[in-house]
Formats: sequence, C-alpha cells, structure tokens
Amino acid sequence: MSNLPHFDYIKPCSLKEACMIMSEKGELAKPFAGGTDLIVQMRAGKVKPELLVDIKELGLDKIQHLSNGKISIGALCTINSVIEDDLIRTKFPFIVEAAEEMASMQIRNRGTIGGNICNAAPSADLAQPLLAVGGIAKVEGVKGSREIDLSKFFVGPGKTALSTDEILTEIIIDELPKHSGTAYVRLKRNAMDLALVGIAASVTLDEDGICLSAKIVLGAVGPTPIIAEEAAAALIGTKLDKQSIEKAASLAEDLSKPIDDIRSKAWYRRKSVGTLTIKALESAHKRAQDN
Amino acid sequence: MSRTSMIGKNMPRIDAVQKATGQTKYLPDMNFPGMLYGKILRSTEKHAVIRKIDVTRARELPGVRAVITGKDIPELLYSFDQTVADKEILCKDKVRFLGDEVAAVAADTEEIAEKALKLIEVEYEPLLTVFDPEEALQDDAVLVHEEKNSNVAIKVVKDFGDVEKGFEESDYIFEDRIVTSRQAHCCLETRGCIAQYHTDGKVTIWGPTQIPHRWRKQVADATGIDRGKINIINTPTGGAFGSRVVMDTKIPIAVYLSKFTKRPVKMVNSREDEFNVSRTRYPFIVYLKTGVTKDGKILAKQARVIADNGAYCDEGAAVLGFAGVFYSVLYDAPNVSFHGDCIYTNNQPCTAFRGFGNPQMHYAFEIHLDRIAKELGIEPKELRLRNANKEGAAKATKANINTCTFNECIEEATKLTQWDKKYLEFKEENKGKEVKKGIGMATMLHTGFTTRFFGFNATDTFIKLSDDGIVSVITPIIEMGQGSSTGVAQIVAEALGVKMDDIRIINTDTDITPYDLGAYGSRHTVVCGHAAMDAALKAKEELLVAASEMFNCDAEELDCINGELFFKNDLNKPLATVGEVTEFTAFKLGRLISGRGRFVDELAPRGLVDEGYSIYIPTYSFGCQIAEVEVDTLTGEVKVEKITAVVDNGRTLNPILAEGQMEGAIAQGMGYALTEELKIENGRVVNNSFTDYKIMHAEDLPEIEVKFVESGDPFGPYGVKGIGECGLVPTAGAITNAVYNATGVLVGELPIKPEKILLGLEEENR
Repeated sequence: MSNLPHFDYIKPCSLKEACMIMSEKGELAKPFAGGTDLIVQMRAGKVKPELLVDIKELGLDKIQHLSNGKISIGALCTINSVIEDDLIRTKFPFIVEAAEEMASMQIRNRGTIGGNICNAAPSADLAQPLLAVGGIAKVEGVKGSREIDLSKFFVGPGKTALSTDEILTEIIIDELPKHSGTAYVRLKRNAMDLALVGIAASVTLDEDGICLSAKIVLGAVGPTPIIAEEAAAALIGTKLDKQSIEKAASLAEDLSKPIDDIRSKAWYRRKSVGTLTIKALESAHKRAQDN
Repeated sequence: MSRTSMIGKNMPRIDAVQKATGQTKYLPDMNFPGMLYGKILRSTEKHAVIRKIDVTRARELPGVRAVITGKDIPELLYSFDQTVADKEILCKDKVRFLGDEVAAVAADTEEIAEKALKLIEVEYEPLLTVFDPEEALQDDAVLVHEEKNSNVAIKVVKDFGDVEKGFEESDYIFEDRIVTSRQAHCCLETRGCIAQYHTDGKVTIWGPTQIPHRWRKQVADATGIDRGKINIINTPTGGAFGSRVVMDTKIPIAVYLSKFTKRPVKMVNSREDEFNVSRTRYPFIVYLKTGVTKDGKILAKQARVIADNGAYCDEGAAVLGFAGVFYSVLYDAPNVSFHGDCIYTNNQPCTAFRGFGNPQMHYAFEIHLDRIAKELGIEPKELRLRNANKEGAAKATKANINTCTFNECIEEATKLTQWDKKYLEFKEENKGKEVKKGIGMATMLHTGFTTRFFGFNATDTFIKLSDDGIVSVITPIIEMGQGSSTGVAQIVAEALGVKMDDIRIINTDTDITPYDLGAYGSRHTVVCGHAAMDAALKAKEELLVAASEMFNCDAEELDCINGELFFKNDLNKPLATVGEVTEFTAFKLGRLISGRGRFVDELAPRGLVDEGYSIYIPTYSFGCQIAEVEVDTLTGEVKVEKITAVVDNGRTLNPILAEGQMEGAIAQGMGYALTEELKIENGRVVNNSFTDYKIMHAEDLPEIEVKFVESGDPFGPYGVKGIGECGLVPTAGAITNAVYNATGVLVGELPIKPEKILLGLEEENR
C-alpha cells in the first residue's frame, strides 16, 4: 500500500452535471461514493483516475416503495442503512444476511450498495440476493436514463455494462409474493473475509406447500454471479423435499465455474456450492412456510 | 492493611490514558527537523548474480540526497549470531531472495525516494533456485550460499540416553511427519526507525525494539561502527511478538544514509513490505518417532526437525534450542534424541516469534500423542498423566525442574471443562449429526523466564527519590504493549511502599538504562522485576533510616506502605507521607534517598558451555489447554466454542494484565491453528495483505477461561514467572486434537483449514 496518488476532485450539484463531467473525462474520471473499494484500489495502483466525481450528496440514498409495488434502493444507500431498513429486514432477509457478512461495521457505515454492485467483484455479496429478486439497475447518463437488467449488468470481474458517462442511481427489486422465503449463506475464512462461495436462494410456495417459483444465485464461483436456472427449475412443482433440494444442489454444483486461488481451491468451492445451496434452500423453505 | 497491597491487584496500565487518547507518539508519528525519508530497492530476482547497478539517474533526481549500493559501504557480513554471519547489508554481487536489499535512497519526501528507486537500473543473471528445505538437502540442490559446502545453515544435536535401546524395549513404535506453517507477527505498528549520524561520529537510533542494548552490538557488527558510539532510544512499541528482537536491515541502511547526508533518516515498512520481506516464524517439518509400552509409558522419543531457514541466518539456533529443550524435558522419557537443522532456501528468512520453536514442537508432539492415545485405547488425559514430569532432575536431560505443576494443571483444566464427562458424551451426541462436537487437550511446558543461551542473564536497576517523594525507576524494562512497565511499577510500589502515581519509569535510552538482554523469552518481568524489587528494598532501607531520624526512633520500628510512614505496631495512624520524609531528608539531613538493585544469575555463564539441557532453562512453567470445538462435516469449518487455559505463572502480579496476555496469545495461537499462513509460492509471497493473511478478529474468538496455578517461583519477584509466550504454545495442538476427537481426522499440517479436514473425512469414508 503506497501513498494515494495525485488526483483532482469535483463535487457536482446535480446528477446531470455529474454525468456531463464523467462524459467529458471518460475513463479518467471515477464516481466517488463510499470509497471503500476505490481508494484502496488507487493506493494499490490498480486504478489511476485523474478526477474523482463526488456523488455522495445527489439524493440517491433513499429506500422507497414504488406505486407499482416494486421497491427502489438508492445506489448511495450505505450497507448499514440497508441492514437497518425495516422494509428490507422484513421482506428480504437474504439481502440483510448478505449485507451483514460484508467487511466491518466501519466499512459498512461508508460503503454503498451501488459501490458493491459497480465494483463487480466476483465475490460481491449483494449481487446474489439482488439478482434473485429480479433486480433492475437504473442508470443515468448524458443521454438520459435507462434500465439494465442486473443479469446483464455484470460483464466480467470488475466490469459492468455501464458506459463511462453513466452513474448507477437505484436498484429496483420485485416485492415477493406471500409464502416466499429467502436466505443467503456463504463461506469465509474468518469473521472479516470476502466470500469464498456465496449462495442466495429464494422460493415461493402455494397454499399446499408446492414450490411455485425458485431462484438460486451463485457468487464467487465464476467471473460474474451465476443464476442457476436449471437448478432452480428442478424445484418447481416439488414440496422442496430432501431429494429435490439435493438434486438442485447437485445441478448448482455443475453450473459453478470456480477457480483455484489463494483463498480456496476449485474442488472445495464446487463441493461447497452444493452444501451451501442445500443450507440456503432449507432456510428459505422454512421461512416461506412461516410467511 | 495487607503487607502485599499491590501484588495480585488489578491495576490500570500506567500508559493507558495516553494510549487510549491517541497521545502516545509511535515512531511513524515522529518527525525531526531536516529529516529525510529512506527507501530500499529490493531484488526482483529470487536468486541471481548482480551484473550491474546504475544509480546515475536516481542521483540526478531533484530532492534525492543520497543513493547508496554495496560499493559505498564497508564489506561486512552480519547476522544476529555473528558466528553464522552471512548477510550483506546491501547486496554487492548476489541476491538470495525476492526482496533482498540492493540499493537505498534518501530523499526529501517519501514520494521522491520512491521515484528515485524506479530510476535505479539493475542487471541480474538468474541462478537456479530452491524453495523446499527437503529439496535443498539433496545433493544436486543449488547452494544458496555458494561458498558453503551444503545448505545446512545451523545444526542442533542433543542426545540423552539411548533411543535405539529404548525403541527395542518398547511394545509399540509410532512415527509421524508433521508440518507447521509460516506465521507472520502482524504487529499493529510496522517495522521502522530513524537514524541520526552525528558530526562527532556518534549514532542515535530511534525505533521500537525488544532488545535495545543488544541492538547496539548488532548495529556495530553490521556497520563496523564502534559500539560505544551507538545509542538506541526505544520508542513506544505497537506490538512485537519477537519481530523486534533481531535488528531490521533498515537500521544499518538508515545509519549509512544519515552518515552520507548528515541528516536524520526515517524508514518505515509498508504493510506489504512487512509481509514480503520482514521475516516470519520458522516453519518446521518434524519427523517424530516414539516408543511406548502397551500401557502408554514413553520409553524413547526421537525428533528430527527440518526448519526452513530462508536465505539468511537469524534466530535459528535459539529457535531450535527452545524446540529441543521443551521437547526433551516434557513427559520425562528416559531416552531422548533431538536433531534439528535450519536449511537455507531462497525464501524470505525467518526470525524469533513468541515461543521461538516451542509452539511448533508442541503442535507436533501433542497431536502425535493423541494419535498414540487413540491407537493404544488410552484416554488422552490418562496417557499424559502416566508420563508426568516430577519435581527434581528430569530423567534424560537432568534438567532441574524446581517447581512442577504438571498434574495440577491437567487436573484443574479437566475439572474446569468437565473433561471426563464431555470426552464420553460428545461421541454419543455426535452420532448421525452433521455438526460434530469435539474436545481436545494439549499439555504445555515452557520457560518461566528465558534460556541461558547468551551466557548472561542479569540486570540492574536504579531507584532515586526526588525531594518531593517522586520515585524514578531507571530500568531496562521494555514496554511493547504487554504491560511490563506497569508490572515493574507495581513491584516498586509494593517493595518501597509508595503510590503507583508517584512512580516514573525511565526505560527508553541505552545511555541511561542498565545493560540487559531485552524483552523476549518471557523473561522481562522476572529479570527486571527482580532487580527493581531489590533496588526498591534498598531505597526503602534508606527511607526508613531517614524517617527514623525524623521521628527519633529505630528504623526497624517503622514501615512505609502506599506512600505513608507508620509505626509497625500502629498501621492505622500515618506519621508522614513519603514526600515529607524525602523533603526532611534533603533539607534537614542534607542528603537524598536512592537504591541500586540487582538480578544475578550465576549459572548463566555456564549456559554457553555445552551442558546439554541441564541448566539451559532457569525455571519451568507447566500448563494445559483444552479446546472445545464444533466441526461442520459438510464444509470442514471449525468453530472454536471455548478455550480453557491453565498455566503455572508462579504468582499473579496483575490479574487483568496477566489474563490479557493469555487471551492475546491464545488468539494468536488460534490463528496459528486455523488460518494463519504466509504463503510463498515459488519464492513469492502471494498473500501480502490482511485480505488474504487471515488473523483472528474479536468476533472469531470464543469464550476464553484462564486459570492460574501459583507455584511461587524461586527467581521471580514475589514468585512470578513470565507468561508472555506460554499462552500460545499449546493452543494449536489442543484445537487440532479437539477436531480429531470430533471427526477422527487428525490434520498434521498447519493451519488446519477446512479443505484439509474435508479431505480427511473423505478418506475416512472411503
């Protein structure tokens, strides 16, 4: 870790202005929110922006119920503000579970949900639950705003579908029907760690306890989060009995693309995808039955 | 009022307020007028001949004040132990590991110094490399030091009795190969120094150090500067754990940079430097062979240790010394053989680390012992008790065990944990469960204070009282976070009978403090505490004589307790304060009050003579730790539920500090067991940050119960023994044995990561 290199700083008064600046500077400008990833990368010399565009006070930090029944989470909401939000806590426990796993209290007070998504680390915890609830990224650019399905947002490690002038403003997620349950489980080496494997699961049951819909999203076992559609499909129409859960877990293992690295081994990650998928589905199932 | 009002009492640390309010200035906070910043150009090759170094462009950069290479400094080889000196301060012709020092720069700012490094051009001619110590022993391995005839750097051989005969008499022989990891110290404060070469040829060095007086010798050895001209000022220290025993190469480099520029030069490691180059715990490969009777009596023990020395010699001899002595003495076998070698490789060198080689050996032997227990069908506690040490001379080594609490520690630990019950019940409870409970123990033998390795083990202390009764204690005690200066203040408060608030500890300057070996090997509170107690008792004699003249009585009639003078037969009515007596002494009697105290270790000079291990350790500490764990057999994850630690600390000086020492050591021991491992792949450190070097966080820690057995040591002041290291020594063994108990998988390679446990489980199921 060396000293922070020289850079310029600007704090635009509006989103439009911010996008204009980003557009002019192109690759040389970076939006600056919590800074918990960006500053570290700058110190390590991994990114070398000439200009930081401070977007902290553009009013992008709200969580609200939209008239169409969907929920909007502002990109600048801190991780802890997501954890503390009553709506998120009651409706989407797996977002809270993922958020609580992240870093330390201090980092969670500064780091933002948008930052976690835009940093696009394969191990990012929030990507999995947000993908599982059909997350849509709303972005603003010089040409106006557009929506990107989160499933198309992650392009590769550290790479997103955003163009250089665009800023993520909010993430819109679907409200879950009744008899739904969600869970996020992950593997880590100690209390403060990046996910070695992170699994988000969401299931919805009918009145008879039959699985109407399911989502399984695998994190840290591929260059981008993996939506394990075939695995989830194996659950539809079942009572989420042991056998069908195990089948889904086994399919999820097959869909994962883990690598060997300093943090873990591919075989261990693949095996753990199965183990953790079972744990996540069992926990989500139990919550669905209680809802 | 009790005679011992200060000993055994929870006293707040004397440095607590300044540290808690952020006022304490550590070395990185210190800046001097005109100070320059030094940076080191490090080798980008793992093993290579240096063909050419061109510093022209670096010297031309504005703001650069000096650029030096090996050609600019005297040709000297250096090591902590000068008999194995093998390190050039700046490599002239050859580099031996990635990060070896090649050139250095002093500049007006850190940024300029960094820029200048990039302008230095070095041409290397790469050589063959060797990173595995066992490969380095092969005949065709490249020599790390080409002038030597093998890669064996240091050899320690100790044989007691006849192991071959012992094996012949044994009913069973067990053999294991056990591997330990490369643990990094991870001090909150990275290594650093400021050096000032003065115009009269004297040198002052500021920095966090565990052994300032020995650093004078080390700097002199490394630079050729007359030791008498070197003064070390130890700065407040943000953690040490052995990393600040051996002088960092930055220190002589900073001295040279200051010599060439005539200005103070500051050099501080980045966290990456700290992981990449600043030396770790010695990783061991341990081959054990143990002969036992069918009822579990150990008749012969044999250990062959192959330690990765890294590219240069450091504390290898002391590390093998600690490994050998405690392995040889514990469990009192009649025949013992310890052979240890430090082997040169092109890896980062290693150094002293809390417990020296003892945690490595304890992990190896304690898990080996549990395997023996299981295969003999003897309960682990019982197997240990059948091989208990006894007071007096140990069978093989003749080591003098003056206080033996082997049985007491095991009995106490098993009682506190309900071992007998849980050892049976967990097996039942685990049936059909995915998450299994386990309980495991490890016995511990460590030193009560240090070894007699140096042939010297003493120190002095001076105490002076000011006219107002303020007590200055001139002591070599090193405060590196462990609270030892508070301990010494308590001892002085007790022995002299003064208030803690009136005590000033003067301990930061080698021109002032008495000669001493330093704070390592759990020695400082015992050695410095003893000398301080002696000085305080002498000062008290003078104080009572003066007071007797003030009150026209015999000195024997008086006592001084907590800052007040009393008649011994009336402790309820104070006669005067210490300040009133010192003022009377100064202005009515025309003199002052002081005391000089000593700790003498007459056997120490014989420590250098080879007497086996009979007098190597002045006094022993026994202990026992029990770990309770839960193992998820699907993921291999281990959750430590509780650690119970019982240790013989002689006597507790300050319970809250003593427990803190134990808890910190256990946390470090848990990291050693479960996660900590500096990974060097093909000579390159691949996890040089806390993102991937995983230490225990507060959240990772289980309930820790610490219980002290107080044997009352003959050497320590008020009977205390050192406890700086013993908390970490058995932890990895206890946790590994608990996992063994839970799952039947014994992981013989640290750290015991989930992957290894899972592989073991799969093998079992096959």
